[in-house]
Amino acid sequence: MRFVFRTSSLSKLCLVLALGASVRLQADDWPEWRGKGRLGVWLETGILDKLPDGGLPVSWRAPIHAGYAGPAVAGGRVFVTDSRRVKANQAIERAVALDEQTGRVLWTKEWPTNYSGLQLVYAIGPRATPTVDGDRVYVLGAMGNLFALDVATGRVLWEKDYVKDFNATVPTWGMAGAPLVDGDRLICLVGGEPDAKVIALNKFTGEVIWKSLSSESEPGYNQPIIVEAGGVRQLVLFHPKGISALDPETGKVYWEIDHSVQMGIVVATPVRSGPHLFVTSQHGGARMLALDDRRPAASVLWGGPGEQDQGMTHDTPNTLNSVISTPVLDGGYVYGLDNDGQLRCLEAATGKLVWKTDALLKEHAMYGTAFFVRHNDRYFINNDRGELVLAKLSPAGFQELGRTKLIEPTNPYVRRRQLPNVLWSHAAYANRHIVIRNDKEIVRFSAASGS
Amino acid sequence: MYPRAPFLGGLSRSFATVLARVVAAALLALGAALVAHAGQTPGAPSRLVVVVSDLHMGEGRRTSGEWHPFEDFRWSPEFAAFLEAVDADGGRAVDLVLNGDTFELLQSSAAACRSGADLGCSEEESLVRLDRVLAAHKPDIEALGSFAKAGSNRVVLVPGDHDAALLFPRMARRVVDALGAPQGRVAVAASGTWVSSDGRVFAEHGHQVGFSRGEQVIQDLDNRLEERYPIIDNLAAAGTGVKYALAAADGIDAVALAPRLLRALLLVTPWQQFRMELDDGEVEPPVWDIAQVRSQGAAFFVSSLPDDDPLKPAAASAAASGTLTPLLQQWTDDEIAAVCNYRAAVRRARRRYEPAVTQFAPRGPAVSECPRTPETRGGQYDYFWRSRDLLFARHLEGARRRAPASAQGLAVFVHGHTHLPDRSQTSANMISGGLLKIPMEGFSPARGALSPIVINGGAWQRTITPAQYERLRTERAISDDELLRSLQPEQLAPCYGFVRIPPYTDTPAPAVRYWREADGQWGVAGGCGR
Repeated sequence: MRFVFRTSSLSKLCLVLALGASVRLQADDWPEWRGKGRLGVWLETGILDKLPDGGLPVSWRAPIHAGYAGPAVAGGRVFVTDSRRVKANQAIERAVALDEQTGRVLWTKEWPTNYSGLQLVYAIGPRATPTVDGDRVYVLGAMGNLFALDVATGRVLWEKDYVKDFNATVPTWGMAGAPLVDGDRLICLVGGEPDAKVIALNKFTGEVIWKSLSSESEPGYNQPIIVEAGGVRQLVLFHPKGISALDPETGKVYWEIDHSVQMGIVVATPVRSGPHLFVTSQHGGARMLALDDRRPAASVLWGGPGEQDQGMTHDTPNTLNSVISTPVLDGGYVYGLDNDGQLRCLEAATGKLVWKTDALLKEHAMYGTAFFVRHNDRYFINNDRGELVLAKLSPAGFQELGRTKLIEPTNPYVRRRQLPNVLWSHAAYANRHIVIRNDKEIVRFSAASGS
Repeated sequence: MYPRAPFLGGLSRSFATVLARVVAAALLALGAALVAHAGQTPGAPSRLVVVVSDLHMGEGRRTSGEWHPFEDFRWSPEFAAFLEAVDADGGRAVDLVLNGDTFELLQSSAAACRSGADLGCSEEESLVRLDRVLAAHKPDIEALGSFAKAGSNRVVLVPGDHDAALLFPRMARRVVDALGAPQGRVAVAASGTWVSSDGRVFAEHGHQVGFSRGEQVIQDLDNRLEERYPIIDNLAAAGTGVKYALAAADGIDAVALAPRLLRALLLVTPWQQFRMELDDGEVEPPVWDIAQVRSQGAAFFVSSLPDDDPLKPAAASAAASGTLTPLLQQWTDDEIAAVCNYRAAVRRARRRYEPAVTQFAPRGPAVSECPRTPETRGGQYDYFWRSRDLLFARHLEGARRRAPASAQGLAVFVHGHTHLPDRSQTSANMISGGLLKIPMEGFSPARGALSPIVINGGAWQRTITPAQYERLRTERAISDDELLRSLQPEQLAPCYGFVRIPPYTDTPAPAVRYWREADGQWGVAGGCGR
């Protein structure tokens, strides 16, 4: 048989190929804390190169209540949790599902709670970003109420109470660990007793699969991640007693490194690049771990002092001690926001300070916070002033490409100097849009090229 | 039977009875050397006030020239230098308040008083002991006398639990005479309280505040063990050293003593307000389920001690033998709640690796919480502040009622007794809603308020905290017995706490300060260093 290509046929083929190329323009959901894999990477194409002078176009905005939890986006829905005070410390927390295209509320699921015992100035609502997995979304309240909900209806599939079911004590700043889906397991930072700091539940039924790690220390406020290293998958937890790596299937401890952190304040998520695993905290300082490439093991490559170390203050020099902000490991360098809101760059291999600048927050701000999302060779950075900053980070310095205000910072805060409030919620980057919330509204902005 | 004096709350019943007898006698006699509220001169301008306590001047040296192990005050040169500095600081117009336990009259190598060791001494017996102390501390008495003679300085001695016998008129006279100052410059506060001329500052030794704990058991053990372990009573807070000594010493039946020790040590009140800076005082604390606690029986006491508490093995044995069983019925709900608050504090501090705790190392096993009422499930912040605040609030109310009619209103309450000074802290002013951070010395037992201020200057003594002690033991890699035997008071940090209240026109602003040696120089500092 002979194939004869005529011009018209070729044109049609080109059209098909072009359409195919267009389809391959990648669009992606943001189903959990820091997006898929908790990596803080935005893989979509068709994203704007320059922030428009008039700001990003708003797709929609919808009123919600207070909370720190960032939104998750999956399957055409936006999920977020919030809270409203009803009397004294009593509050109603809820999960909210909105139509991704319109912002219309699809369903809500409410539950009563009581913030008694939390540091009240920060007891405004849930912390953990919802985790979406197929037809289920997992939401966690500030006091340890965990729900598996049907994404379409909000129907409760199963629920757990960390305090009642696992004998947990809610830490001072609430339960913050967003559940992590791994296979059939839902891995939760619980702080249960005895020996249930982390628990794997059957994600379909809520039944306990395994419990692991002593709760001799508090659970902290961190997010579990999974890395592949040493020929196995490792569940990495950064908690107030140290860093632990577990077999996610069994909870068996692969390795642990003691690194106690005062006040239990371990918030910034560990980040990994190649053989490096980096953790940082205000009080305990920074630790760069070297992951063994032949077996599940790790060692400390270098450490930087923290506020709890002798002679140190909260403005610890020549290292990177992040409180809330998760740093970035990129191209052999660490970038992140120090306790005082100063953007710093360190050599990943040595910990040597390369540069520091106040240019991101434009103020020396204790607990200054920003959330970094890498997109190709640049970063979308949501700072706690409610601004979106487009920038390049390199050993040569911080190069700001643009800045625009997205949302009012409304979270209460004690130590701010220039603004009375902050914004400590991570935005979602999904389907060429940015979805961000404060204590009053959730807003979706278009970030598509040509916006 | 004499009435129980209003300020005897912290003493054992027998000792309180004897002291009440002394007080009654003193109040009846009211000699010239005793003043009901020393220091009152209504309308007088404000002067520098310096409050020191717990010097515990004792028997001095043995005939061999060595310090007697009971002697805790071995600091004559620095004390004299301190008085000179205070004199200069106040421009020779200083009210120096020796706020109790200036003299060690309870612990003595002399023969027991005729009424028995537990029952204190008669006036005659006390005079014998006092004369020994005055003779042994001639340089210190002379330094105090010189201070009292200078300018318009005044010295007031407030009786504490270890020198309550100062309330005997002849005892007071003997001290006043020993200082040799002009008329009116030295006095003993017969009421047990010194009140400033404007009625705004109160000073009491501090044993009057808190639960009735039966501290006599601690004193007995100190007496028995201090020869072997010279720093047993230098561990702060007072009483803590006994725990380590019991764990180290042979021949002491700690199990038999456990019921009394648990009361004395678990209800200890020097609950230094460790770290306020994060919680701002606005957090609702958990509420303990006391009925459920009571249902636990003796296990409650055992589980209230962390696994590394030296008292725990004895408490466990006592529980097993049944001797702790009746205790829960004897304890009040407030006392049980205080222990629960304390447990929550230990637990929180250890689970969070918190620094700056006072009665235990910040690292080590935590204790479990007491059961809570179901609606209070959050993280705890206030914990034992509640018990501490309740006790001080009650006591201050009593002090107000006892205050002279001319008093303007209590603004500052200074105490000692615990040997543990308050750390400076920060209070967030939640009243304004502005979350304004205010540096604060001492604390206010009124929730959310900044006054009245309660402040503890610690001891004008060399002390060591359990955390420092345990660090030393680890560094030297020796046992409790070896460390307690080898450590002498002179080896402890040369740092002495006191409260300084500068002259004021409106509101007194007390601060804990330290007479401290650093780099060979003596001076006033804000802390003792690490």
